[in-house]
Amino acid sequence: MRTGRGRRSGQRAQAAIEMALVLPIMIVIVCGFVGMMLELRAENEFQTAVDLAAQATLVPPLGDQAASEADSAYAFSHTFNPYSSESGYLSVTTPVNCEGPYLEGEIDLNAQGIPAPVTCTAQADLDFSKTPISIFWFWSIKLSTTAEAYPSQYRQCQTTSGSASAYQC
Amino acid sequence: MFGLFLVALMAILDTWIWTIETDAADASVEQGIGVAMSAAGSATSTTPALTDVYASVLPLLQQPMLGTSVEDWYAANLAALRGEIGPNACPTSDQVADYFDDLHSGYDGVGHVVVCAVNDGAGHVTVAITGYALSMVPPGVGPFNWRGWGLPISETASVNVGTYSP
Repeated sequence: MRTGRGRRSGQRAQAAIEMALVLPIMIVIVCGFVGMMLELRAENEFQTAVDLAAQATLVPPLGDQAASEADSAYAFSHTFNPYSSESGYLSVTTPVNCEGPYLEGEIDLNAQGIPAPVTCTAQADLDFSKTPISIFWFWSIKLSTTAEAYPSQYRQCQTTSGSASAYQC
Repeated sequence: MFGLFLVALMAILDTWIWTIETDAADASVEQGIGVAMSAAGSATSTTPALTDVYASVLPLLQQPMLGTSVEDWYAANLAALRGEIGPNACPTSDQVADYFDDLHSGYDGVGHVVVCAVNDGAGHVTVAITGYALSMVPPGVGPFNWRGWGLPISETASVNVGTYSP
């Protein structure tokens, strides 16, 4: 027959074993979820920066490649900025790079009359070792993002570069 | 054991809420930039349409902010904060929270985000959504010196001012 003291001791041991079993699982679930949310956030922030960079290439007139590149770089660096909530663990490995006929002063219309887009790409590293969940999730993830922007009719006007355009300024 | 489970549950819920809120802020900033960057008045105008941003992003922000008040940077009740920050910059999350704390609105100024759109005076337009959204993090428990019952929201974008026609 077990005494009261023996029963209490057994209960404590049982609780300790349960804790030892459940705690790691709980930590994995919490860290995994937080990590997943951080990744979603980072991807969204990065995508927004590349989207705006693509749109910014279309602010200067057709064929002004230097201005388009400068505007795109400005939009990217000031959207994906060091003061945002992702600072510290999200770093750009390949800065935004944009390509498209618009930058060369060309408007390539397809069969539906839609101009070829400007396509921008960039890459970044999401370093989980610098996040609060680094104890469990300590490796990096590479993010790669692409965005497209289509020149408006106003931006398809003939310019000094002499490109052909369906639209008149 | 139950306390630990509760903390884990709150951490998961808060992270989820923060992700929803900051994603909405991201989308709103992107849309706000499109509205702000040009065409106040005419297609060739280079005056940014700064005061149109709030109305255009409010439908995107209001529901995902889950009870947090979305404020217009150009509203009369923020005149004092505008005067303090100046016409060419947007406030930080802490400046917004401090301002509302001084007005005794919300615990520690939490529960307000500001939609701000300004021209920096050098040919760039900046749209920012900053403040502290409501959360379940008790005071002194959150990471990074976060405010009690608040999640920091700070999304900013900046582009050159453009025109819709050459």
